[in-house]
Amino acid sequence: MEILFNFLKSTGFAQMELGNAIMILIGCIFIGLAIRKDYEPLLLVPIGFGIIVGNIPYVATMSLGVYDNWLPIEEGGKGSLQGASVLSIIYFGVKYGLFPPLIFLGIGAMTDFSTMLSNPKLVLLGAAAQIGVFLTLMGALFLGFSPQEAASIGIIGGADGPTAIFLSSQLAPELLGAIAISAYSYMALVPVIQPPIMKLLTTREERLIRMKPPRDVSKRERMIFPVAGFLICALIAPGALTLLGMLFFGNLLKESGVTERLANTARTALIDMVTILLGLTVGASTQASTFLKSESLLIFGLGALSFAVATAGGVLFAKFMNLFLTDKINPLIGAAGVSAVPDSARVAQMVGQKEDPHNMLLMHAMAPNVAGVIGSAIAAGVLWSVLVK
Amino acid sequence: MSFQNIIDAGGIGLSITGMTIVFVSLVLVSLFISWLPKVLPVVNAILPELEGHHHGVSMPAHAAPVVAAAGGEEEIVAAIGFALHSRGGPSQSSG
Repeated sequence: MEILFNFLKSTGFAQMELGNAIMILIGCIFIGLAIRKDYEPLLLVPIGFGIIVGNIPYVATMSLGVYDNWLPIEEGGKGSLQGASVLSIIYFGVKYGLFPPLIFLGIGAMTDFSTMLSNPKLVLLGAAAQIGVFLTLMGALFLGFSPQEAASIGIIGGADGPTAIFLSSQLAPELLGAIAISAYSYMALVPVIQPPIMKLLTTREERLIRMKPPRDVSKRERMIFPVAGFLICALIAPGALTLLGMLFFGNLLKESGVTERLANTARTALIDMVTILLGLTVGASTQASTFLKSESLLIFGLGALSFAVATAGGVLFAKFMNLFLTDKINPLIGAAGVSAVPDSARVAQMVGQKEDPHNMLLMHAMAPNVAGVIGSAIAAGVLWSVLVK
Repeated sequence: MSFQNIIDAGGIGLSITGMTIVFVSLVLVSLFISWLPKVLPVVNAILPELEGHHHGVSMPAHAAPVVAAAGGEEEIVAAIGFALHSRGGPSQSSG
């Protein structure tokens, strides 16, 4: 009988706290949003389920959570898995920034830079949208976060989950869970957050602008670009070496024409596996005791601000460019500069088509969209270089 | 919560520097992309593209035997299929 009572004390029901219940509810909401609303299901389902997994209470002496400590290499040079759990071993890929570059490899192997190569001025929209990163950094400093924490929070505005995870794992690992959840939540909510800002900042005439179709880009241009683009960016901001190296390497695999099998693996099996492992463990890292703090609420608030400012920055810069251009840009595509590939480009298309159903903005919006990926990785590289302890 | 926090951490300088570096990098990328089509004819004259060079699918050396074996299996399957088809095939005969 005593054994039975001891067992009952160890069950999740007996140890459940209000915080755990709230987090399990949040996990269910994530899964519901993914299934019912189709908001980033490939991310929200693993993260949502991970939140549920991470908030099942267990006996403290058991190794079951992502934070169960283990040392891959001890001081004596020997490794030790003592005290490790399955989740904490997988979480190693998040904690030490292994998964984000692998995701970038897959993104590179998926990305077609043709629209960007056909209209190079649109690259600047990807740079303009990074204003969200730096203004939010200042907002976070204002609220009392340390520079490292502020930079990790600011990068949420880059609208790039892997970049946000990579930078926060290097600069502010204690905020990793909140930042990752915030970044992915807002990426999933791009179709909700961006349209009102885009409409507010543009006139109907601007939303009706039709852009010239992009020119054909030769195979050779597409093959040269990943190497040259990487050299330019990595030599200026070596901190972005890992992320951009993998992005452009993946793209070279795609465009070289001789490594189709490798490109295919990178953009399908590899990225899917890493997404599953990353999503699940990032979700599981949101244990109520570490996640439900006022800091997390502030991070969510700043993340929303970051997205809004980045969207506005892209749209306003497109309007500014139009002052000097004869072939006008539809300023809606400036919002795609926040990265969040390809959702923000789809949003530009969707908002544009509400005014003119025959206006095809998607291909044009892909240019600032992929430039935004490069821009946010450079921003992360710069912040890491400057703020690394 | 104070503006002094931003000044103490050098936040303004960091933001301006960061934004400038991002802009400079992407402006250079943009200039390179604009310049590339002008240079390509020269490159093409020196290094013409090889016809059919990229049509084949390469594979790492360690994978070649596996794929070759798979190719062999496909041929065997095709041969069996042809033989069955010539004889009327099991599905037809059973039906």
